[in-house]
Amino acid sequence: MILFRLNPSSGVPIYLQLMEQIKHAVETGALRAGDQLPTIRKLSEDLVLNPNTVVRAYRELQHEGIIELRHGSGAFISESVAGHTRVTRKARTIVQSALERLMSLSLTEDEARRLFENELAQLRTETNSEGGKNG
Amino acid sequence: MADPVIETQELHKSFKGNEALSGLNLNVPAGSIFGFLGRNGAGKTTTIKLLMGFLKPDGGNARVFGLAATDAAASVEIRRRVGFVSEEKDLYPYMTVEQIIRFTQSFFPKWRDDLDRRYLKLFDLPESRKISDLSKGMRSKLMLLLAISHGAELLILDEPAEGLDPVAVEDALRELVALAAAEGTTIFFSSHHLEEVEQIADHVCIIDHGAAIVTGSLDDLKAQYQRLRIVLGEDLRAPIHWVDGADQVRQEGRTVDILASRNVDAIVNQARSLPGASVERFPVTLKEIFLEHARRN
Amino acid sequence: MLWYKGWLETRYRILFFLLCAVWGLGSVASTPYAANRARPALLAFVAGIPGLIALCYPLILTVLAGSGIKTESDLQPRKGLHGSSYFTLSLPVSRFRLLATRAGLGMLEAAGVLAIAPCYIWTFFSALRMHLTGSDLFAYWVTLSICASAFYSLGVFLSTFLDDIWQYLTSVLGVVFFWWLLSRPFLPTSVNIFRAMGESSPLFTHTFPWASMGISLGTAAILFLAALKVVQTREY
Repeated sequence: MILFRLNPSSGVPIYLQLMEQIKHAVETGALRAGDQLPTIRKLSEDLVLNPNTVVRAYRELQHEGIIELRHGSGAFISESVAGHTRVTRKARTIVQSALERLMSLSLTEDEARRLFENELAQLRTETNSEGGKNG
Repeated sequence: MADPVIETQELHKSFKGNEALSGLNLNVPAGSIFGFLGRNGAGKTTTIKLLMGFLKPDGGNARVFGLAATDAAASVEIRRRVGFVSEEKDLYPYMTVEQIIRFTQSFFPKWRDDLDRRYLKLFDLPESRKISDLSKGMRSKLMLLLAISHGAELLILDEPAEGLDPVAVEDALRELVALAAAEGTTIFFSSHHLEEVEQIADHVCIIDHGAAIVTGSLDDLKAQYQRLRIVLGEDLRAPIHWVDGADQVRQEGRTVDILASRNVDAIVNQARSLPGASVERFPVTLKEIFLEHARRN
Repeated sequence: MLWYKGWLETRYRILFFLLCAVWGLGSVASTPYAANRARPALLAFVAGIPGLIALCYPLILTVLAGSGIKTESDLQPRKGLHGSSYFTLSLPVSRFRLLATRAGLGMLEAAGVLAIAPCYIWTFFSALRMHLTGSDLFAYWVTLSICASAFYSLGVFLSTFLDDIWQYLTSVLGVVFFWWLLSRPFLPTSVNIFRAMGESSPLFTHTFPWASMGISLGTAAILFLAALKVVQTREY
């Protein structure tokens, strides 16, 4: 399975990494709607991963509507993904223009990346505390 | 919820006044791949010996498949259903590879011929060679072959990859994972090689000075622990008292590095309340969790 | 398969003792043929050979018992580990079965090695035209085996908690001590196991020394149970 490169020592849970990489494959078109993913057994053997990790990744992806688990035949990229790809294309345009404007301010690549990560982290904290207030 | 395959409660064991286990609580779920981590001398092998019936505890209890590991008759039954690899990798030097396979096979009615033939080929073990003529790595592989081939529900492995080169380690891990996927075998293995554990375990327990100090699902642990890097707007004269959960705090000038085991959002909020502070979050590796706890004790 | 394993472990040892026995008795045997002059002295000498065997055989046996119990993987120095590698202990076999198999096999092997004695005895005795029947020889062999079982068990018992060299030493001391003790005048001669293997053996009395045999078996059983208790409570 040359499509996926996982880093077990990275600190990010492996199932999340796998999910990210499957989503990325969908976004770049490496995997298309209707494509079949390897069985849990095959993927865990090929990548030398705990089968429960693969199970969890597939289940979460199914929740998010990215894949379908067809009983007896396996896991397939769902048809609705085509719509998701449209959203991705839109988002991509937004990011491209934002980056262009940042670069015109003579920001380096690393500075830009840190900015994005900081803002994302802030967003996460705000979402969590809001959830805390309501939950 | 299925019963745990291995369960210990307040396990105590001392040797000549040295306390090897000081109240160990373990819970290994069925079908899991469970990594048992600890420094050398932390109590990993003692625990495994207790589970296998080589030792008796001074206090507490240990159950495998719900059977008491301390009862001699139950222990025989436990061993019938467990595939074991010892730390010493001691086999009989006077037997050949083939002889020891046949010898071991005679004790286990559920022996899997297909597996032992497969591993013989995969691990490249010469059937007619005497065990005394095998390298340490090959002995490790042979022990693994014997443990996996007897159709056990549970594998108890003490440093199974000891002495193996990286290719062999990968082969061994792959076979373990394949076994778990195909048969649902529970795998309990001790190691001080974190990368192996991180790669295939779904649950871990870090043992130190005979007690479990971190235990749980690996995914949950990685989600729970975070590293925060805070850059303050100005030098603060008074030391900051961080909220609970900020386990390891280091400060150099205006930079503060925190390893948080829980309560991360509260800590982040506290950090943001400081003048001019910016906060970055990083995931935490198992190695960092391990080192942090080892250092603490 | 445990019997097979035990055989693999002890076969060279057995061969060694067999050769020793053959050589030992052979060198003793060469003396009468060389010094074939004073017949009464010779008769006394030959009559004493069983007595010699009676002492030597238990010595050899206790040592053999010890080494028979150990696996060859114990050639690596390991503190306090007697007899069983972790691999053996991890098998679904009770410690009783482990001990019993090794002890039983050792006993059989010992009886096998011992068969040399009747063969030689027959050779001397017929050379001196002392009459011996086949049943006498067989009875002698049986008596030897049973009387020596006590010493064999002693070796087994000692080996469960002593290291090789200590086990050999204590065994030898033990045998010598009992040889001395049993020859004390205040004890009846029927109790003397050594005599039973020598002068009182079927070679001369043409009957079984039942008392000694009974005592030997009883002692052997007690020692075996003691060894079992040790092995069952041991921590590895």
